Amino acid sequence: MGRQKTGIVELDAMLRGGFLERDAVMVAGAAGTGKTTLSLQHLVNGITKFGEPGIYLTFEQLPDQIYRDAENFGWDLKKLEDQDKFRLVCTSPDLLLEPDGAGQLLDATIKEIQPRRMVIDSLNHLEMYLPRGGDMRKEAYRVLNYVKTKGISPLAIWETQQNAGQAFSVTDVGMSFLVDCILLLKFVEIDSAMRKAVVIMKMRGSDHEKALKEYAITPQGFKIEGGFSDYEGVMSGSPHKVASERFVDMFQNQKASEKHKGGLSH
Amino acid sequence: MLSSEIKGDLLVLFHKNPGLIDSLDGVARRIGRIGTAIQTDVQDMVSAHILGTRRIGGREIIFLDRSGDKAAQESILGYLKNLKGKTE
Repeated sequence: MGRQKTGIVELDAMLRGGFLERDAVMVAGAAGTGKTTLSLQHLVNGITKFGEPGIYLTFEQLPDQIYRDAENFGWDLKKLEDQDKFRLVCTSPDLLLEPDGAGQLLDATIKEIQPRRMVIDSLNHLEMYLPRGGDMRKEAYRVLNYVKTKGISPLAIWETQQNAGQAFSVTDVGMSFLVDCILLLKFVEIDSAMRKAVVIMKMRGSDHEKALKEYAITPQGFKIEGGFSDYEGVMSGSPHKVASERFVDMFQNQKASEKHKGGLSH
Repeated sequence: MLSSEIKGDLLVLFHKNPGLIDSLDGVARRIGRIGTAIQTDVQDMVSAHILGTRRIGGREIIFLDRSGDKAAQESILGYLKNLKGKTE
């Protein structure tokens, strides 16, 4: 099975070479963690680095906001649209939930640009518009399968509560089993500073990095900066230094204190 | 073409968001109006091939007719050039 690289070198290393082709991927995280940035970067890199056209399907923001935000990272989406390598489709989720809604909305665009990647922003919006008594898992399954049968790898965004991942459950509507790979983005508070961590919660049929990595949203986009090897309990929301680091801290503090005392006695 | 404020709002909306595909009510909401208020203007713009329509389920959806819109823009540009030539 081939790999679909995100083009973010450190993330591809965590994924042991990239997502498996045609796997349904979920990028989950609280508001402000950078889900849209990561997803857009995956599409833009797909086009510019790997020659794979892409569609960004949004229910939330109007495209003009997305064009503007992308421009801040140096990604010219309008130019990619002019080259028929990218399409930004904005619609209401209830239309996608109609029988054959996905086909009616997307078939023409798919035929036009032959995409290999598609971002769905977001599954939460589908859930919001679901008729009373509707089964979110069935609807999400239908939409993801429609995309997959067109030979396109879907990446769905899921907005979580701030504390998601603490109990190692990403969605509260049991959708994790519908997707093959889950990337969880989360805020962590360490030494009174808010930092961001990414972890691969699941990757069917492949080995993957198990450790949490720190990332930042830079002017160039999503960038993984390193690990949290000095800390434990990061996922549970109460990170503390590992025993060996605490010992080092204690030793350094003691040394500093002795030096201070020595200085005073002279 | 811009015989009403609503047509102007619709034109700006679809030019800024060429990938917008939505129901009449959905489009109306995005310019702060209701479906019935924009229906006539949408029909005029469909007749002028600026917008396109098709049905999903029981509902009509509206989108930018990219080729029709491009042709209309070229036609307007040609008219303006012609007008400029006459006044010079």
